[in-house]
Amino acid sequence: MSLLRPEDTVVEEAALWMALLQSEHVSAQERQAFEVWCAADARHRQVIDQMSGGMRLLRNHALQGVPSERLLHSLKAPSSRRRFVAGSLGVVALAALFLGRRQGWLGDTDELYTGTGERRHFTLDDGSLLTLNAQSRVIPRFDANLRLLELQDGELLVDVAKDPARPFVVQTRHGQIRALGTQFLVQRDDESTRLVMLHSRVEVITRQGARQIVEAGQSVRFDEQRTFGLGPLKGDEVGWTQGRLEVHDRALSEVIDSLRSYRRGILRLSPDVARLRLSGIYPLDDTDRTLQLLQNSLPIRVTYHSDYWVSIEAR
Amino acid sequence: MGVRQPLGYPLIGQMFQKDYEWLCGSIRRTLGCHHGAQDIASETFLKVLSLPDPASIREPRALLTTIARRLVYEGWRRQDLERAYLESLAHAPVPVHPSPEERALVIEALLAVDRLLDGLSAKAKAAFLYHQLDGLTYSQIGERLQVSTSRVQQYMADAFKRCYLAMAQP
Repeated sequence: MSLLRPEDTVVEEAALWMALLQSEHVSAQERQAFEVWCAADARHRQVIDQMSGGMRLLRNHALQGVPSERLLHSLKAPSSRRRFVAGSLGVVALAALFLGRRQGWLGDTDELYTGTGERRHFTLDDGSLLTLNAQSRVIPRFDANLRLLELQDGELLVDVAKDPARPFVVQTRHGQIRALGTQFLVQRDDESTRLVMLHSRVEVITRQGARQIVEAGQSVRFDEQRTFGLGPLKGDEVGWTQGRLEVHDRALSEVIDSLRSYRRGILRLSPDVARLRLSGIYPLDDTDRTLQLLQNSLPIRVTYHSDYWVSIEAR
Repeated sequence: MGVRQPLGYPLIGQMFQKDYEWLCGSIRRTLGCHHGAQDIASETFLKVLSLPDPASIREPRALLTTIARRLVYEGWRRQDLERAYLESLAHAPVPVHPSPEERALVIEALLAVDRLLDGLSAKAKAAFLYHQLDGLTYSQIGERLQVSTSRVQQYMADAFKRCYLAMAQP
């Protein structure tokens, strides 16, 4: 929003703090770091107070008992003002909101997950070996005919035990990967899912039914409609399983995104340097060292406001 | 600055005499709002009176136009929200019939929330309401909106920025 004045990087920081503090994953140390941040400058506390004032607008009595889906439906109402402007241009654009199906996952007690900075290995019931990257979540659903893993968040590597009678399927919201016995890696983000084939081959079936065979040494992305970007491996895909972040010609923003799962607190990247490209091998389990290495090789400055607040800007 | 002087009122009086008819005409012409033009013009002057320092206004017509336009847009938006709200009541799985008074209160509250969250994506709005009103965790919200929890956290940060701005504007 351009409404923010330049001095209001404080507002940006305050918003990130608030979002962190409201998260169910916030740690005691992060709370302490927030207190330190507040105490550092009178304006910090002032901005937080003002923000909390805005939040109180939602505490309106009239809204209590109104289901939030109904509120959201109403807020979605196309604006007459926009219609007025758009009408005069002869263009009508309607944005549709996909509210998502209500499906509670709370009932799934068998969920496998990792926290920040954590990698874990699991042996599944059929003997398959599963490795989860940091901040990842998987629900296994095995029965007599099928071995199904639902990847809800993050990234996994699986070494599938052979079982001709029961196909092994990894599923994301974008589609399915079907195998009999093989080794592959699946990484899920919001827009698409990425598959990296290490051994043998699998079939990808997107939610809309598009199919693609993927061979060992290839990688592909898919969303709900289609598969795309089929090509050879870059060779840096599995480094994380050994605690290494291997990077071949990637944007700094991508590298920092990978580090976020390994670091508590807030890592703020200035848009000015987000597109810098780099190559290298970095230790995932020592993010301070990684940040130091990045600073040595790029025109960036890494500033520690506290252990839980690090910002990266142009030098 | 900030001190309301008695001097302000005569100035507003002069402004009212000179500019009221002009403003009514301007609202009719530029906004195509024929019927309520006088109401809006009156309400505009009331808003100007409630400013901290009306005596310091340098460009009264520009200010009047800005405020009047905002009021007209707000009126339109109120209608949009009301229409959508009534529609959602009609489609409710269990019939609900709030009293006209309750409805009016909900619509005013909706207008405030709409203003607060204006400019955010639909998913960011949904994330914020699910968290603040329904008390869902970030993972539950992520599941419902089909996005990662870190994306939910970013949505929340965007909404908190809007909260700050809402309180910063008059």
